[in-house]
Amino acid sequence: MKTVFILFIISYSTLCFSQLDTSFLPLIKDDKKSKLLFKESEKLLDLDLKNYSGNYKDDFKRICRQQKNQISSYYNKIYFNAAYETYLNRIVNEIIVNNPSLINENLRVFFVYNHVPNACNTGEGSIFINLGLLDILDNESELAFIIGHEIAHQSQRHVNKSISELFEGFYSENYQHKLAEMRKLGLGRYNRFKELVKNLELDNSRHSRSYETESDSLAFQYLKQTNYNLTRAAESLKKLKLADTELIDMNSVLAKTFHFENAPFNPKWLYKKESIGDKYKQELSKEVQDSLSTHPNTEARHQFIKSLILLNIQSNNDSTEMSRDTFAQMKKEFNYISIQKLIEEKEISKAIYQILKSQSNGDDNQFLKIRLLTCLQIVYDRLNDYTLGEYVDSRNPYYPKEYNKLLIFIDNLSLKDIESLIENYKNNL
Amino acid sequence: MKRLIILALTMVLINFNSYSQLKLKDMNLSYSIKNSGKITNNGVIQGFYMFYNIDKPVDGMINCGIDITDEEANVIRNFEFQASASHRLIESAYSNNELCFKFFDMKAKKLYFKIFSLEGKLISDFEFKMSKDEKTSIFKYLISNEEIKKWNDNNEADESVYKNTNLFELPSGGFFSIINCDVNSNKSFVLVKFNSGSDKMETYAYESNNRFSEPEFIGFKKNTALFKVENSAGPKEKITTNIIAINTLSWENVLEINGNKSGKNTFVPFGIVLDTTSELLKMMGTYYKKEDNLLKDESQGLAMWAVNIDGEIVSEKYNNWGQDFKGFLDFKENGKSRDIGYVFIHEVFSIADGKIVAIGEGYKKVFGATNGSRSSTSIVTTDIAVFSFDMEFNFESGKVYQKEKLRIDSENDFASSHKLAASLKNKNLFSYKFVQFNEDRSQYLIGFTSIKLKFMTYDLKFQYIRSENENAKADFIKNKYSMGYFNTLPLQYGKVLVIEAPYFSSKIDTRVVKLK
Repeated sequence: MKTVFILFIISYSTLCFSQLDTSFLPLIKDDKKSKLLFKESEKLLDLDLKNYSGNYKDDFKRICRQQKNQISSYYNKIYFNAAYETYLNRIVNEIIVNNPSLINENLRVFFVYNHVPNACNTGEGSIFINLGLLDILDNESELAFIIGHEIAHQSQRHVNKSISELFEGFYSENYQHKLAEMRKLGLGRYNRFKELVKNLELDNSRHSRSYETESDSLAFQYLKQTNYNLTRAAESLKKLKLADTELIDMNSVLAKTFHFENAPFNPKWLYKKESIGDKYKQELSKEVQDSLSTHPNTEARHQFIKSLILLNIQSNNDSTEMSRDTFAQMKKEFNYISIQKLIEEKEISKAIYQILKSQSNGDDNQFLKIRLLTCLQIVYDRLNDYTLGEYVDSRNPYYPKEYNKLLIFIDNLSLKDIESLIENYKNNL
Repeated sequence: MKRLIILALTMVLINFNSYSQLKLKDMNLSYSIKNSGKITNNGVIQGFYMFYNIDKPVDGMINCGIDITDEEANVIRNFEFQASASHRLIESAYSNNELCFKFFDMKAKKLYFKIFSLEGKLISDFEFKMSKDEKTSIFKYLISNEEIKKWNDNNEADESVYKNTNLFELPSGGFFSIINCDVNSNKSFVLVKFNSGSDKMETYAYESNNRFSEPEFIGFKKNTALFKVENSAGPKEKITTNIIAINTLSWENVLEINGNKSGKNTFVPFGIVLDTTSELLKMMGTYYKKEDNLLKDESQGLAMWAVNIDGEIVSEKYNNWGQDFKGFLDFKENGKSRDIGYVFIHEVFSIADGKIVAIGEGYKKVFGATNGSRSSTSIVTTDIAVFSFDMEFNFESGKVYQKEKLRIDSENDFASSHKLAASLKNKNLFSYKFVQFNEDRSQYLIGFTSIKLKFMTYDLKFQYIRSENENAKADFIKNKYSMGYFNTLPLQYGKVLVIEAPYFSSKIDTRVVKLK
């Protein structure tokens, strides 16, 4: 197995960027390695459970079980690449070596197949960086800040603290008293209960926001000890905020991409039918929206880090950063891998969205064009056998606006339209 | 089937995280799902609702909720309110940013309507006031008739799954509803009109000398609502047809004509011709000989009447099965096709260019060997026939779409073919399911099922005919489980909701399918 794995790594690491143009992009998966790695995490969680001395052991046990399932799903998505693992470990080492307080942390950092720009710490030492995160970052200092932020979550045991707070809040005398009071109520108890739950959940999200700020602050302290560029690092927060903003004018991109001399773009393909979803959808309060966001409160956090920078003399030395080319190569490659993975996972509308987004940012690579053609062919075949719904999302008032426009476009296409688009797009490659 | 829709929607709609479940469990709160249905506007499905009770009743009152989805079954809103624990949701409609729900309180025997605003606020609450006798009458009617059957979850024979039958939106805003009840001691009906801008409910009671009057809404011509009313002296007596027109602004009956008015034939309208250039009410449907009993006799063919506002028939056109469909279906003089048997007409409608289309399904009475006390007669439904007419209702062309022949045992050896067909229609056993239109009504899509019974299993197909540029395309979706439940509900034009479930399993697959 070891030999096979080494051969695998060698073969893949030789895949240079230019080859991506037309070749098949292999998605590296190693189930056995994933399982082995997960076992280590499992042991740590079991140890946590064994050492748990709180009053809510049964609940803690149940939550541990849920955590295991979640962590296992992350390990199943690891993108194994020796070169990039080394790269990640170098960043982690740079932070640890310069921050001796972290030396005893059992940290393991991995790239995972996920196109969403995000990263997470699961509480037992694992840190997972989504491939999609690189899409919004521009340099290693920014990546180092995100890794530092996740390390801070781990060093401060934020996951475990959140669980404890959940229990403490729920089993608190105050909450239990209110529940007992409510049980006695008649018809009104449901509404009172709803209000109580809402408050508890908002309390929880407030705690989690304070953990985010704490982790930002610590990440700043960690990076201050390194040679990473702090001003750049702080930009990562701004970019996370932008990640939730769609910077694409989908209708113009579609009209440009699918306009051919002999087959002009049909404006009817963009026609949006009136839907009660647009009128009736529940608007969430800003606070609730933010608590549901994958990147909560980024604006305030960015300002906070900027103020820290002003208070600190910081170096602009970039000597720690590996080659800029490597980062750029990784950034581009990860985008392609994410697209390939989306296609493999039957997420065709998301794959098309990513392709069009990359193309609208000026990426003219043949890889994207070929994958767009593949996606169109899948849409054609699946519409033909009535399984399109398994591959393409249907319009949803809660989806991002520009993504919905793409879904409307796909929805408006007939088989004949798709056939013609494939033919013309192929001829114009 | 209702139960399956409910279960399917439940999976979509109820979404609590594990922590909330923990808390719900602690509070001992329960959700009891009551029913689900569609939200329509102008006959087009806009979304679905799911109605449920929350927690236990206290002093006869209960918290209840309605979850609303859009046309793609995405949950978009939730209304909660307190109501009597014995209330039932019957039907819903959508108009001008308002949603209306029709409820019946089984215990208090109250019929009421609630209108919710765009923000999910209850803005109007109307009660249809009834005398004690009326309450009993309506209650009995609901119990014995179609409305409350929606509560019998296993009831497959429910046409209202496909279209509204008693609550509709008005062209000028607001809603109206048909309420079957006693009027002057006869089993008749009342039409009620209401809107959120007024607290008044306007009523129109249909007075008739007939013992039974059964209405059916057939459509609008500007601000005039047209109804077909089937009158009879008793359940087994001869049925006659009246057409009534209600001015939706004044809520008055402005026209009533008898289906026999032409003298020779009895006209039974199905729909209104879309014709904005004329003030005439043009209706199309089927026709019978004047002396025929609509319950027992075969129709003579298809007809169109143009009526002016004074109730005079300005023009009438009859297409006889035996004479006017030359070259199509090989009809005999008695109106029976040598190809597909008698034709039961499901729909007659006009499309944007003024052309008229009729959807029929063939059926034949088949005799078999006597089998003890059981009836030996069966009725076989054959193929789907689509007839096309020009604006003047001259037959232009027809096409037959084949499906599996379905044999259904008859309950009565001596009933006429047409009576058996009417019984199939009531039980929703015909293969035809629905017709959908695109927004400008230039295209249509006809949906029907085809079933092939095998030993212990069956092949069930949802077939559809799509009209595009005068060339109808036909295709089908097949069931996934050879032993299981399969149903297809119409969504907006070109889309259906497929619900599948294997027998003996709690697994239910629901998916929105775009048709080719």
